[in-house]
Amino acid sequence: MSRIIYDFTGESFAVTGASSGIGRQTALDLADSGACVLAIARNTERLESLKTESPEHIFTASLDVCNSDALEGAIAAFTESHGKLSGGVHAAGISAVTPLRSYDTDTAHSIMNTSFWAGIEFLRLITKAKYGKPGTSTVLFSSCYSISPAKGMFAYAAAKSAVNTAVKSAAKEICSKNHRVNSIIPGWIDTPMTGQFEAGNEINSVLSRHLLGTGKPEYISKTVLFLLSEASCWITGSNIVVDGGFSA
Amino acid sequence: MNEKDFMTKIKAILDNEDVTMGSVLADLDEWDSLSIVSFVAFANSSCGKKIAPAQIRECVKISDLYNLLAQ
Repeated sequence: MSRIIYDFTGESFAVTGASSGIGRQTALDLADSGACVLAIARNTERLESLKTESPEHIFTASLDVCNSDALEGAIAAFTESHGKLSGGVHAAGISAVTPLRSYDTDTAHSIMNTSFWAGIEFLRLITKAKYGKPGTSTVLFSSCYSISPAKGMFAYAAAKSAVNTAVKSAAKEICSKNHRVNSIIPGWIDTPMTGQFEAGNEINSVLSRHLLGTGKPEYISKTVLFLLSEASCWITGSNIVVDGGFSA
Repeated sequence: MNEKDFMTKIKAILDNEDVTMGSVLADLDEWDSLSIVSFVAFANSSCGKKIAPAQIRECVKISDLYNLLAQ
C-alpha cells in the first residue's frame, strides 16, 4: 500500500483534546507533517509528555475548553507568535452513561458543553479574521452513537448529533471566506475515553458490529489530515463516517 | 451608547477591524443578511431599540447605523 504524505510546513493548527486518544494522534501526525500545533487539553502532565514527542512543532495550553476566555487567550497568544491558523480540530469530549432512571443534570450538561458548545466556540474563534487565515478548515468530532446510540447514552449521542447538524448550518455561514467545517463520525476507537466502558455485554454487541474490527486513533487522524488539507477543498458541511463498517 | 463602544460591537459583528464610521455598507462583503440580523438583535438587547428592515435599507454608511440607535 502506498504511503500518503501531507506537507503542512509553515501552517498552524489548534487541536483540542490533545492529551490523549484521537486528539493526541492528530497533534502528532500534524507535527510529523511539518505543522505548528497548539495542543489544548486539561491535563498538564500528559500535554508535556506530548510536547516531548515533537518539541519544535508542538506548543501546549493547559485549559478547560468550556472556559471560552481561556480558550480565546490561548489561541490569541499562539497566533501572535506562530501566525494565523489554517484550521483546527475539536477532539475534546467526555463520555458517560446517563440513564433516565439516574439522570444527573450536571453530567449530561457537561457532556453537551464539552462536545458541542465548546466546539462551536472553537469554530467561531478559528474563523475569526483575527485568528484564522481565509480558507480555514475545521473538524469537529461526532460519534457513531449519533447514528445508532446505545442504551443510556442519549446525552452523549445528542451532543454528537448536534455537532453533525451544526456543521451543516455553520458551513453555509462561513463559506463566504472559503472557510470549511466538517464533522467526523468515528466508530469505536481504543482510547482512554472508551476504555472506561470495556466491561459488559452491551459493549461486546457494539464491538461486534465493527466489520473491520475495533478502531485505532491513527485510523481517524488520517481522515482528519485529509479534511485539513487542500485535497478536501470541495468538502464542507459534511459528516464523514469512519467507523469500520459499524453503520453498514 | 458612545461611538467607541458602538464601533467595537460593529467590528465584532462584521469580523472586520478596518471599518470606520465612514465605511459604506454596500462596499462591505461582511454586511450580509446574518450581519443585519446580528445588528438588529444587538440594537434590541443593548439599546432597547426595535429596528425595522426598512430603516436598515435606508442606511448607507456605518454612521447611519449608529444614528439609528441614537434616535
